[in-house]
Amino acid sequence: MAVEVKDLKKMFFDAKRGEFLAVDGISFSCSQGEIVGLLGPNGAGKTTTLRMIATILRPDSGTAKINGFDITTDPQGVRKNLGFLSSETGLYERLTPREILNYFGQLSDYPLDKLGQRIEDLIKLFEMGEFADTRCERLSTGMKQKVSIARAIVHDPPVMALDEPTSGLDIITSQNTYQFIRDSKAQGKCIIFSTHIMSEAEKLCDRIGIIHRGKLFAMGTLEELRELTGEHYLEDIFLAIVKEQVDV
Amino acid sequence: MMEFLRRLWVVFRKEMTHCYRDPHVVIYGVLFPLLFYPAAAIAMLEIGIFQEGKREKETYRIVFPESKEPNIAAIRDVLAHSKRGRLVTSADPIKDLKDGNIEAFVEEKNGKLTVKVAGSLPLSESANTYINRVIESRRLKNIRKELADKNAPVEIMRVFTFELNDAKRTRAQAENKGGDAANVIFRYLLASVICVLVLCIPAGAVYPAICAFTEEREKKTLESTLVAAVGTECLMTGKFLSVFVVALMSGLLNLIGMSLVIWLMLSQAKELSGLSKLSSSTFQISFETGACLFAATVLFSLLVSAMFSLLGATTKSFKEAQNMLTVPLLIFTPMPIAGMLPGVLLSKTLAFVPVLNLILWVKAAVRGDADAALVGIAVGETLFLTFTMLFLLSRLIRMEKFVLGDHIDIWAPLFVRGKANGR
Repeated sequence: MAVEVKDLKKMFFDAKRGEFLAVDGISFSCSQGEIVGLLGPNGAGKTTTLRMIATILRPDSGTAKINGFDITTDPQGVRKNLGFLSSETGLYERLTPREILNYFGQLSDYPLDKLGQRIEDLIKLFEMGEFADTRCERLSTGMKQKVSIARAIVHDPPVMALDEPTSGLDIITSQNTYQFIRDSKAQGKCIIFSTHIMSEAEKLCDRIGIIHRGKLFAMGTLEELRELTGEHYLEDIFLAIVKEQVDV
Repeated sequence: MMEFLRRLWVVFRKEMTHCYRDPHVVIYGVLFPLLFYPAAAIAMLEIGIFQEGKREKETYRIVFPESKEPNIAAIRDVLAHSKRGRLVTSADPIKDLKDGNIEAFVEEKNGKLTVKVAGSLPLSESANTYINRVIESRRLKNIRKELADKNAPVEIMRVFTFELNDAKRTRAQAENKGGDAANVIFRYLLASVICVLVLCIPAGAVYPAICAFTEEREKKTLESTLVAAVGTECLMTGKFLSVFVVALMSGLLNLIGMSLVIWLMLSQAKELSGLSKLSSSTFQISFETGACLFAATVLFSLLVSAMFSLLGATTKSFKEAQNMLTVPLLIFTPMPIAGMLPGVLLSKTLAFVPVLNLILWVKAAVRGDADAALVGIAVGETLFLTFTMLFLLSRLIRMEKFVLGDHIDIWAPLFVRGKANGR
């Protein structure tokens, strides 16, 4: 397995709620050439889970392995094998896309003699040629998203964690992002993908995990989830699973 | 180690590029130091020329007595033929003086002249000065003539002055008596250079610190940076070094700008005051003094960069950072004033006062009486504070609140337990 997540737990403190479990014992796995979607409403714990996988946050308990590297004992190994994209991630405004790709490429372990060609390939792949040397502060949201995705994969990682990658994007840019995810899957990449948009999960994911209030209630293919709930549409499946679990 | 240095260089280079593209950094760190001193010097020169020109155009209406006494007659003659003096007659000179119809009234009693002026009138004081100068000039002329008639040496005219100083310095200056005043002025200017730097270096460090630390949180670029395969130490060191280098560059640019202007002003002053025959050593600084000044600049830049980096990292918006960093700027402001006060010297107590100890060290170095032990305390304490703040900064960067962009209390880094985010 490219990604193995075991019983991840994370507690936060909030002035209103006090201490609460943002992620409560989540476990799942993802293999190469597979897209796993984490589906849940805002505040379900998707972003926190991905942040722990990306070694940004330290889990209170549990662990995860990315290509065999443990997130708690070998975070540097994890970072070399993972491309992380967050919907909240910004770009250095006074750098150009080319400079940003160069910066992150040089910080990774990607061979320096091949980095120039890799950056040119990414600029071509995401059609960034026209604005590759323009400062990011002057780019549109769609352009910035292209740069963010290219930045996340500049070191050609085998595993990708994409946190709501189409959030705030127009339909054309969203379609381009979907195409990029499908192409990555075809290249054998392992992709973990979080979203609260049902149609997105339905279109892209090989397996879908239903997350609510920090817990992973169900995980399976769309067909498996349909069988489990007897519902056809993902929205109904989601509601049925969440309602059942909350009632329990 | 080589890999660490390579990544450090990558982070440092990126921070420098990002920083120098910020207009705030360019204005406060580059343009201000380069343009301020020449602009200030030119402005002062222009104002001086303007004032002098204005004064030359001034004419004073003076009531001066007619007298047969040769000296008074000669003074009257000079005033009558000068461009600025205009002799007038008045039936009631005191009333005319009060009404502003004349600027001065000179009265003679028993061969003694008394100048009467109205203090409330702007030209009246200038008229007084002018008349006194003419009288003094006449007096000196008479003395010289008297001395010449009696074959007395002209050296008798030399005015002797004294100053309180230690024997060593007095001996050293004795050979260059004419340069005493210039030397004192020059050394005072030299000692005050560090004071200007204490004000300018923080101004140059504010925006790089905001660029390197606050902006990462505000623009949410931190996550992608932390996910890059680079350690927190490398990231923090690269960022801190960029703040330090920009602050130091700003300080050095200030130093260059100031030195050029001081050099030009001293050259002008030498020409105007006839001091050009002075030994050039009057305006030279020793290697030790120069090294002290440079070392103090570097140490102060280190301290300020560490402090601003730490404070900048606790804030999460540009505005909040500006407010936060204004506090140390205000604290630094009175330090140079206190440091330049006469009698305030590097002592066992003041050697422990941060920033002020560096100012007093330079002051002592310029005077030539720096105590090595006290300098050691000042340097040691500055380095200790710098490394303490960097240690706190490294703890702060590992905090989850820092990563998540949440509010961080200023004292929070003191209470962090362990590595919060697996870094």
